[in-house]
Amino acid sequence: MNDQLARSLFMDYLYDEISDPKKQRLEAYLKEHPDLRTEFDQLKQTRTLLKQMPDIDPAQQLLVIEPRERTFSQWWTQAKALLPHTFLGKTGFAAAAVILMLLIVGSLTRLHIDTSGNGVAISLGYTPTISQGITPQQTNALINQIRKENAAMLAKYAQAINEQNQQQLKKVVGYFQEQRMNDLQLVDQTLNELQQNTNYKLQKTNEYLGQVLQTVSYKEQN
Amino acid sequence: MTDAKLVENFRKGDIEAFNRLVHRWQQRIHRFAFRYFASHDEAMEITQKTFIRVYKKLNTLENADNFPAWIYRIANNLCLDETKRAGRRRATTMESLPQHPVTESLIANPDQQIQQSQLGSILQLALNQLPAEQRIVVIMKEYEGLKFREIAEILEEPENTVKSRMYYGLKKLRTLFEQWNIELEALRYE
Repeated sequence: MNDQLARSLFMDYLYDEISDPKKQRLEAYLKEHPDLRTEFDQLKQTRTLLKQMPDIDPAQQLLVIEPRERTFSQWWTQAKALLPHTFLGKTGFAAAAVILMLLIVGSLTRLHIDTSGNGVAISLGYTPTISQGITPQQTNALINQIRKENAAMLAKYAQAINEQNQQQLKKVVGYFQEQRMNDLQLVDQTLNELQQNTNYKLQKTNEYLGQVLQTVSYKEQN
Repeated sequence: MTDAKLVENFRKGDIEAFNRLVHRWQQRIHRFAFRYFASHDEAMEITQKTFIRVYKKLNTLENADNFPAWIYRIANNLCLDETKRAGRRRATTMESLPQHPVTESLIANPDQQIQQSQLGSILQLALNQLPAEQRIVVIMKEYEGLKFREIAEILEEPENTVKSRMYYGLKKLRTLFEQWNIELEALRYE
């Protein structure tokens, strides 16, 4: 250590912000250098005098800002500041909010949950009557009744299908009969026209033959 | 509630949080400014300006944990600005001071204990003779009780620079006391 280094440690030493090893080295150096020791003591005395500065009178209180009428956004901002910020806190808060909401809704709607039977019965507004179950005989009767109903329903269904098919078949037969009559009429009409045409041609042929025979007989007479 | 939490709440619109910061800090800022100017009026003005600036700029503070250093920095800058603005009015050189401001009273009443108020005036007068950068460090260290590391953070200067200013500030104060014939040992204020 030298004088310059020792002086650089004076402030740390004076205000007790020096590490123990440095403190020991500095103290050892100051013992060997009384002039530096004197300089440090003078700084210490100066500090001692500075510490005698009396406390000042308390400052006049500053006027603080009175909270104004808060807007909805400010209320919302402050309300959000009160909410938990950690994941665990948020989760717990959400769960508590859901439970509270369920309680409120359940109270308003007179929610009733009954687990006294074999299952769970949930109802709104009234207390359900819980049936006590059915016996095997009742079950068989119920099954038989269901079977009968099913059979009757199937029979009605088959009958309806059958009627529908018959109606469709009648429609098809009628259609074909109508077509057949139309075809026969068309054939008959065609034959009549052919016969008339043939008769006409035969008549014309006879006329021509008569004319030819007259012409020939006339030529023979001349 | 910590300062950082109050800062966060204020940023979220809680005016009451700012009021609590004012109540918590105004004595310290006022004391700091008073030590700097030795005037209650000046100290009050600096205090008010400091909190006005804090109110306007608090949203720009990146780390709320740095609020103490930040508010001291604002107060310090305002003190320096005020010193520059009214430098001529306030500047008092060592030569212009009476050569022995307290000698007469000490000699006249050698057995009387100096009144505390007198001593305060003398010390304040001595403080005002220091250059601003040394005065700031002495006040922060001696009267605000800050660590050298914290002062360095406030002033945004290296820690060794702060210690150096403190060293030279104390040396200068010692010189002043000797000039004013204040016998340090004789005062026995330990």
